Amino acid sequence: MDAQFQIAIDEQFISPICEFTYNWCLNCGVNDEDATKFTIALSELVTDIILFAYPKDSNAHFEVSYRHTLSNVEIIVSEVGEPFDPDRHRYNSEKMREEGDFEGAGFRLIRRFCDEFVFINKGKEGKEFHLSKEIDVQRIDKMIERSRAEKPEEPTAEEIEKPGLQAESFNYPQVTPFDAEDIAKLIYRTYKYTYSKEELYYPKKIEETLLGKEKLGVITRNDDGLAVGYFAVLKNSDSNIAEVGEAVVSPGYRKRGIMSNMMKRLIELAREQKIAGLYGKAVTNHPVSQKVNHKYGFVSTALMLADTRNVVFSGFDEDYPQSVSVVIDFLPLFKPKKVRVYMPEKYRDILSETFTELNIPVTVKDGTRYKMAKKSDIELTINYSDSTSLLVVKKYGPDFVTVLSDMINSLKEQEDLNAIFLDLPLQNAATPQQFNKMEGLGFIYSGLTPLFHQQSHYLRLQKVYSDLDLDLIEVYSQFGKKIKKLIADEYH
Amino acid sequence: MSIIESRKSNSTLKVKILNNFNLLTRNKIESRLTKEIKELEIDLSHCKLLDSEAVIFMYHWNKSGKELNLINPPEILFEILEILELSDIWQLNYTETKS
Repeated sequence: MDAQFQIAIDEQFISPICEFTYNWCLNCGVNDEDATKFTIALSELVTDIILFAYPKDSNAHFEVSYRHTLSNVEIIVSEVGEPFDPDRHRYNSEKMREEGDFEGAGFRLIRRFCDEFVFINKGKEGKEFHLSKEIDVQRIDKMIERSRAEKPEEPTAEEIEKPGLQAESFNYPQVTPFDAEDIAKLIYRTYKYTYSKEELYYPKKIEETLLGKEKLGVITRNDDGLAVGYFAVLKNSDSNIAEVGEAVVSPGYRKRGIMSNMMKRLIELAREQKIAGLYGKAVTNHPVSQKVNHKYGFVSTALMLADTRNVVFSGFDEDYPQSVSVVIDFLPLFKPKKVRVYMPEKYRDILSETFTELNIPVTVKDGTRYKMAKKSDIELTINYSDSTSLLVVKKYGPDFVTVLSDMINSLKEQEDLNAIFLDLPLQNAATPQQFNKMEGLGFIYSGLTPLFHQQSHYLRLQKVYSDLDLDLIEVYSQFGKKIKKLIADEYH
Repeated sequence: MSIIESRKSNSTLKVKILNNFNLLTRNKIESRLTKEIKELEIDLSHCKLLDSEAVIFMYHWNKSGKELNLINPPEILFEILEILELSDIWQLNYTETKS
């Protein structure tokens, strides 16, 4: 989350919030024209809320939250005003001509000025509007996707450079913003792309993430100072863990242990920075990334079905016929303090075993006595490029299942999703009973997401809409295979 | 901080938008309109963001038989008119003074 505002129902706040939005878009790399349009979309929505959401409560407030990734900006507007459905207020140009009635004009502009506009009805707990705009770096985004999914190629004899230099001959310093351009060049060289414009653009994005301390990485240079390897983790915004992200070694320098040394150095650096754990989302269309993770002590804790769209590139995995599922591999960097966890009976064995595998101490309690929150709090993130969404339960209110069900229905009506993932808080005593009430919503097991939100452990469930052949999902570790078997039994 | 500057001259109200043209701006302009005003001149030279509240206000003003003149309207206004299918039915009077 970049920023969050609570705003009074007062028209004088429209301009300040628009000014912030416009400048924030520019800072995130959105071009001027798109920043203007996206801001107008927000202006329309905010105006509508101010005019119509709270006709009898002039002291009411609504919330606007901002978040961005390398490839998109997203604004989430939440309010608990009168029930409303934008689909019932469609703009009718004939009515406008005949009667001068502009009802729905604002929503037409919102839809045209955003790449995605999703309305989530949370029933009694209000509404959420998700406005999203892509940043014009799609080809770079695809390249990163490719780097995640691609099976590393063996260098040819001609490609091998400076064979005398072994992994130990290189230094592995922490990357700094000054390395941004070299990293971009290395990635382009390695993937043999010709990105004339983006070459100038991408280093800036790398630099920003390094300056913002979102990224922690190491870079390897040869004796001429040329960057030949790069490996980085991306810090999570809502917990003290980091995701193993971009990794690249120039083809001429592969097969001599550079990647391994970078991983070791990265683990050291993460420990020095007191990061609690590292995780990787390893693709399952080939086992290479999983093997690397396990070599360094990562434990498979979850299998997320249909998590990424199938990445098809010429000469590579063209035949993989389905969305790519991923294994979550987790490495605790410190032994977490022992906490009480409340597990649904159905998954008690597998979750307990996963904690044991990870060597994370927990005390398993039953959740017969608990106090509900006044309202449910479920955070929704939509991954537009992968067609998935993640719901994280922060609090259970008395109408939790209804709210969850309303949110899923809203999502499904508007987005063609491959899968919805749901994280339930294992340190909340209400989880076992609320889980039992969710029967019928169609969720199956995904796994354990240790320390994933607010330094707490979560049970990840999944609802899969995509048709999958589970035999095509390659899981490397024995324990991962056990998780896959349980999921396969439920999926079929 | 003011969001508009306005000046009355006989039956004309000249308005300069100092920032955005939205609901608040519309209400401010409306509060300065009197029965005598038959012509509205809006200077949009400093206006970058303009939403449907602005467009609807200007459309209704103009369609009620009163005169509307815009100075340096931003490009986005014309895109909004297209999206709302107003381009063909509403002939806007405007002057470009910027080079």
